[in-house]
Amino acid sequence: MQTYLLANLQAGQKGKIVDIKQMSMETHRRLLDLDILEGSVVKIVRKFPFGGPVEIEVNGQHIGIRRQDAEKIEVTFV
Amino acid sequence: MNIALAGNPNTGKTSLFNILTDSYEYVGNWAGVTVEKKMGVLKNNLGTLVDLPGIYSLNPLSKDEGVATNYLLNEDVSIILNIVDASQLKRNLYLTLQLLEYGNPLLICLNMVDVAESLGLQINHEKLAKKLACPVIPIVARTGEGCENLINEIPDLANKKTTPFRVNYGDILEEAIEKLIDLLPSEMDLPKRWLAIQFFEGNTPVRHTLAKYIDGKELDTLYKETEAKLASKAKSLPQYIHLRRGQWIEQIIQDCVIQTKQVEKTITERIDQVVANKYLGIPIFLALMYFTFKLTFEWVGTPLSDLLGEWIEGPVSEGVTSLLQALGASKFMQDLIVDGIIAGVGGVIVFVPQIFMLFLLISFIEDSGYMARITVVMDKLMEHVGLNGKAFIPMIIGFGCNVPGIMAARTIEQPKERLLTIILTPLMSCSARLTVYALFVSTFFKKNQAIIILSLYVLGIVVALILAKIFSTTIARHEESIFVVELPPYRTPQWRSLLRSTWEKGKGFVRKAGTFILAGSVLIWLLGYMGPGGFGVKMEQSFLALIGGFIGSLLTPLGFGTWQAGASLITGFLAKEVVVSTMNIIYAVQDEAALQGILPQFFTPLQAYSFMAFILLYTPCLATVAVIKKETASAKWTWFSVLYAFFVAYLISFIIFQGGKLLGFH
Ligand SMILES: Nc1nc2c(ncn2[C@@H]2O[C@H](COP(=O)(O)OP(=O)(O)OP(=O)(O)O)[C@@H](O)[C@H]2O)c(=O)[nH]1
Ligand SMILES: [Mg+2]
Repeated sequence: MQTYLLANLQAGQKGKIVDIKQMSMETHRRLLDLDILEGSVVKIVRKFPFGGPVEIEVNGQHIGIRRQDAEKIEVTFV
Repeated sequence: MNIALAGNPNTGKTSLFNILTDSYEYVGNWAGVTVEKKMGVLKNNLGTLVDLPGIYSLNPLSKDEGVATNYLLNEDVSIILNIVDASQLKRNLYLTLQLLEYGNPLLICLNMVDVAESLGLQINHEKLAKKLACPVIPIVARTGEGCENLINEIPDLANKKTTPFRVNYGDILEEAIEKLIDLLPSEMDLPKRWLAIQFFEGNTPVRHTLAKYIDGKELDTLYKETEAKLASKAKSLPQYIHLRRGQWIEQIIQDCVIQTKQVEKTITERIDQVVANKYLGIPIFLALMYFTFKLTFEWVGTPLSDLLGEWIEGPVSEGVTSLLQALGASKFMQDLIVDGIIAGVGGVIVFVPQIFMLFLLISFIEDSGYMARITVVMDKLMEHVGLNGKAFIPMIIGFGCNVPGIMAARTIEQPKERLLTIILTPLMSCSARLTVYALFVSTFFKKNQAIIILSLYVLGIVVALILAKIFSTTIARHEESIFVVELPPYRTPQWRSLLRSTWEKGKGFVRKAGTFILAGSVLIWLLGYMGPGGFGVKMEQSFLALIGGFIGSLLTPLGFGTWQAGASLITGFLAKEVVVSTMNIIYAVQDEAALQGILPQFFTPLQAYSFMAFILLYTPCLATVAVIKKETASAKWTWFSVLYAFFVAYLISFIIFQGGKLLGFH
């Protein structure tokens, strides 16, 4: 199935995480703490300009992460 | 008996603590409000209740999380009250499960049931209690609903013997857990199965504990072998454990939770379309600050302050004078009290309205949910200068007082970023400095008070960002950074708690008036009363003028090279408000209104602005220096923050004054 980087999705689009690639251990831990991992369905709420953070929605909670980290997350459309 | 509160961040632990102990600790709507442990006496004298910072797991990443896990695992805790956010049940139960595995008597407080209901979630708490084999009490910590039931459960629980809860992690991991347990000595303080699971989850402190009994290499081999065997199921062991727990929790949720309706677009999303707008985010933040200063200075604070000033200058000071005369007090005592204490302390007390107004607005921002948004809005800018959007929270708190601002830096995970935030937060203009601005803007910039004050706050932020860039590329270099923030739903702050938290913040100012400011005023008055020529000399010949004159001579290039300015700056180190007290005593007037008449003889508007910028930036006050020492645990960094601030203040004021002159201002 075609995969995309989470960072490339548009606001309002949803994706299901298929892979989280190499990112800093601590950031990965935090995502796991917030129950964000392979299999989670993520919706992009908004993307801040100039490569700023992305706001995502997972399981009804809103979370801000950096664009660089969103570029490490591979998703498929749902 | 110690009873500890444990739960995810921002789930209402402190709200519950306040209700159960009748106290008022810091509550706010973002993750990471509480950063240290707080104790209180539980209602009905049932024991000591301990409020802790929020945690997601028992494996800490940041300093505040370390405080919480350390307390839970190493202190003598009889009962754990686990606060669970009912509107985020799944995520919260990961921690619950770890606590159940740990085996301490546990009581689950199912909080925010009002929020869950509004989202259409119905939770069968009796069923949940059965599945988790521990009591579950639904509550609303914000209003106190259900908290009685909670208190009633506690005595029963204290006498109950519990056995650690077991979840099956599958044959491969279970076998590894058994193997590890066999390697441990038979007598251990901590439950062995829990230790083993935490080890496989990657809990660093637990690994250190185990390494005392088992060879490090052996531990590593066991970990790697197990991870390899499970490679087909999950990418890593921690992830595998998380998945197993997730399946187990999912099962429970299916049995206990019913979704009755779907909510389309929440109010929070609507507000965020404006407030956290991609482009308007920063302008809105500035507009909000401008509005804050309008309210504080022009619309509400200053008019009230003027009334208070008249009252102190007139009835109070005259009343005290005649009382002292009636009592037959000596001339010395009369002067000390009227010209020293009333002038000095009264000169600062008149600013109580502005300060309380500012605190009210800060409390509103803290309780609304805006704090988390501003971190996302600012993150890109902050990343450019080697900081993290989260550093904005300490900075905004620092607008009230730098001390809690610096404490709030504990939630920043990256140690270098935390250090930078600690040493730069003092550049945030606190409410103490506001007294100086209030005095000067109402004298020199009557028409543009709010905009001039805003410019000073922005100056503080800009200088902090420039220095962050310089420090992060030289003395505090770092690479990896973590930025993952929860954006909680907006909540309408309640009047009762707003007023409470305004008072809690403002109380410190009033207390300072009775301690530092009083002591500073007496000291200044005495120094101005004594001189090389003896007692009762003219102030121009006093020790104060001598010392102030020396400092003043250094400040001539900045535009305020008078002994009066020099003298008031020294005392500002005690507490920045003392600058105003000193000026009141030196210029021998008792309140703001009169001082405003005299100041233009000594300052031009440009000199006044340069002076305000210097007050903003120079050496932090005593209390701030103490907390920098405590939080960095380093004398070197403490000295560094004291000294750099002085040099930066000198440089910036120099640029403002000399540059201003070149541009034709005066
Ligand atoms: N609607 C609703 N809001 C609540 C409830 N309990 C707490 N709150 C709000 O949730 C926010 C967080 O409350 P705190 O008590 O500071 O939470 P905490 O768990 O101590 O947070 P940290 O110290 O950051 O871990 C505040 O804005 C509270 O007013 C509740 O039962 N219902
Ligand atoms: Mg708290």
